[in-house]
Amino acid sequence: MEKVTFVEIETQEGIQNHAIIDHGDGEFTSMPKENYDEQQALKKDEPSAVTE
Amino acid sequence: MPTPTDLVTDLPADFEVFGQAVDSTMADLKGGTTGQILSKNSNTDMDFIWIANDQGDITGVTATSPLTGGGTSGAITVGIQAASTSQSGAVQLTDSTSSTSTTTAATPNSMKSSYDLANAAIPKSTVTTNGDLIYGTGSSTVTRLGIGSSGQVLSVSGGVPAWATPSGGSNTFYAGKNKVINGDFGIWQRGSSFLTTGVVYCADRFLTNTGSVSGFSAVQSTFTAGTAPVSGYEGQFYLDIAGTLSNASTGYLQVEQRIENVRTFAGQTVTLSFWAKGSTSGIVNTLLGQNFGAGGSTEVLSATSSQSITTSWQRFTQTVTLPSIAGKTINAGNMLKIYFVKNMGSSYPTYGSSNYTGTLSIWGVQLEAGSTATDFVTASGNSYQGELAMCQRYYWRNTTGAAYGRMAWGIADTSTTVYLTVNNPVPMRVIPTSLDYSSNLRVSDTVGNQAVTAMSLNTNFTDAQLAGLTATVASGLTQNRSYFLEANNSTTSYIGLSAEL
Repeated sequence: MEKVTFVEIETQEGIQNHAIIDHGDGEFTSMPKENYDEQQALKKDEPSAVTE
Repeated sequence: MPTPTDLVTDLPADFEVFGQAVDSTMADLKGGTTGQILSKNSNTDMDFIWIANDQGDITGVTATSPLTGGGTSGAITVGIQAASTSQSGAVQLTDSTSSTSTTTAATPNSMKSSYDLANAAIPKSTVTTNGDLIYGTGSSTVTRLGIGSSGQVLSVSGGVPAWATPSGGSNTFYAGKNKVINGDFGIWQRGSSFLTTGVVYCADRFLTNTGSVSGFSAVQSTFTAGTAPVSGYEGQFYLDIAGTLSNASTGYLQVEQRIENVRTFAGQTVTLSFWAKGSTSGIVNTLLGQNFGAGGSTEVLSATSSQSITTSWQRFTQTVTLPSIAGKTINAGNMLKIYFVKNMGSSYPTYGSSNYTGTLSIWGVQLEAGSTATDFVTASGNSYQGELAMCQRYYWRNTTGAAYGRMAWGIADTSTTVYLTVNNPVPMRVIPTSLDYSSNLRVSDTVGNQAVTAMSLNTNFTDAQLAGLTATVASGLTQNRSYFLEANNSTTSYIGLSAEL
């Protein structure tokens, strides 16, 4: 079961919010939170779901 | 005159009579003048007449072209003018077979040379029909070969040229024909076994899109050597998909390939082809979808094609004329989608009603222009290197395979963060949107190392060719010191960047 954690990452340009998805088995996907939110919005629960 | 039977003769008298008779008979010989000549006056004997000696004499010569000269008296000179293309006359003979003179004439010798050459040439009458070819049948012998049919190629049959229909089509092994990337399932950067549901990429460029399923898996399977379904193409891997619907209404299980740019083949007739088999016989539907991106026009789905899967590899096809995209609103992320619908709930009838309960195996996916499925070739033209680069436009992963393999280089910003830079192997489709990474990463300098606790994309410093990453550790870094990102005693550690559709 995937587990999503939202973290704040300090960068040269300031704090960035990121989503880190723990896929289990030591594998992760990290992306800016806005990217994650966009994907979730587009992942409608139907066969034509898209990732962006 | 006395006769031989006369008994008495008077010779003097007789001679006088004789003389008078001769004189009378030869009277025509008398007379005449100097220079005259005798001429017969009639057919009667001794009938002559003296005439002037001008009979048979040439009184003049009149020369007409090509003769020259002439005259009516004295010594007469007659010549002949030279011949040309504008006048008759005398011509110079020549043996030449190459002269272009217009004032000389060919000798039989030169004519024979020309004849011999012509006699050795291929008769024009050998060909009779438009498109005929000529080929030799032996020494100095030829014959005609009629034109073949459209699509045929010149081949050899029985030792002579012959038109033949190429087996499997003409030369169709060229890059760019197949718009499906990784159609031979040769590249699996993300791994070889996938159990997560939702929208998940498995083999490169192929994703599984599932909802309300159970027993799902997408697995890389390996052909037993020599058993790949296409003779002459030794495929190595294929995709196995398992799972069934846990909700007969809202569940779905499909495999997709998302082809960048909805303009691809828009308004054209295309043919989808693939090989498939399964653990049982059943129906799998295929269809195409023109997706216009987030906020764009509604996706346009083609009709579905019902494919009867058996337990043996077979090639399946679907020919579709894609609608024009005129008037559509096209936004970012637009694409042409290929759907392999293994299971579909009743809520989604436009995707067909397939519910294949076995494990479905797929290989050799191709989408090409036209209404015929031609020989399978990968998008790059069967180049592994080319195909990998095409895949990396959308996703690349660096699994170094070394226990401490290095993946990026950077500088510590604080005691817990390092800003890293890594070059993408090829320019990516868009600025990467997500970063995959494994546990067992560390940052190190020449003094020590710290385990990475989190990685993230530094979007302010990431573009399609270069990625800026941030590695976070618990503590212990020295600000402004250089650090490597490397595997932490693990040959399976990796980082990966995604610009997938």
